[in-house]
Amino acid sequence: MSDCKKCRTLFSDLLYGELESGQKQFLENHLQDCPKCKSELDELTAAVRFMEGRIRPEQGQSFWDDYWCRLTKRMKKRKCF
Amino acid sequence: MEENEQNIVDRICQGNKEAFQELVERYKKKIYFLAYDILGDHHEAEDISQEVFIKVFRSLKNFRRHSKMSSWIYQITTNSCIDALRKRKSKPKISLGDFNHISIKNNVEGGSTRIQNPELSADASIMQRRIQNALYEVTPRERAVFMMRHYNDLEIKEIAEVLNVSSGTVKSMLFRALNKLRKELSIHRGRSAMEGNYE
Repeated sequence: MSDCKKCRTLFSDLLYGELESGQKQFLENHLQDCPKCKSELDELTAAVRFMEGRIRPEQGQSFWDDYWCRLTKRMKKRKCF
Repeated sequence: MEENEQNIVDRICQGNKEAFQELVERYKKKIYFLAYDILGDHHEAEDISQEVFIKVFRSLKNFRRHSKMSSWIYQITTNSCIDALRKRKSKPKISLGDFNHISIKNNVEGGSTRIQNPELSADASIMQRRIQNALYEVTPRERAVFMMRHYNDLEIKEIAEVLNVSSGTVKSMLFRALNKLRKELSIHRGRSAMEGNYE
């Protein structure tokens, strides 16, 4: 396996904090010498950062308060109870 | 399985409705939000979340006691959502009204920051649409994995348990999803946008 290919297989370990120390050393050394891999990693990191900006629409409290009632109504129709 | 959950399961199996309500209260937000994250549609997410609880109720007797309850429920949710995504013919339309109430990511328990009626800037709304559109570029399964890890705080090991695959497979799926998102975001916005400059 080429160093670039090996490097790319370690990107997800790096991004998700699962890199072992030996792998970390290899990655650091390779990234210093390979602008292409470095650029790819920078873009992946930027994509993660961008995606972290996602927000969820929140439902009002009444949605949660009535959730059980709506569920039991459906379950009764389906003869669960 | 936690002793407390074992006790709930036993009581449900004895026909105790209150115990089932306890289980629903414990998981309703987690299930709804995971379904919403995967499907991107409020009504579908509620529908699926309720169907998940019906499946849980009906198959609880067959639940393997040595398994983790949360993983089992997440598994039912994920499979239901992936099926729904595969059957879907078009992307859901995201209304700006959806963002009248927002919660910052990972607000599964409902305990973190919740902003009422924020006046989201046009840029912020566009950014949300771009993120949502980018998420449709990954496969349903990759999307589910990405959502579980990034927005629902599931560890890689737990996602592997949910999907019944190895941790290595989960990491590969995450990498494929991220790589597609990277390409999609680069194509449509250029790197400056991904780095936070939306002008």
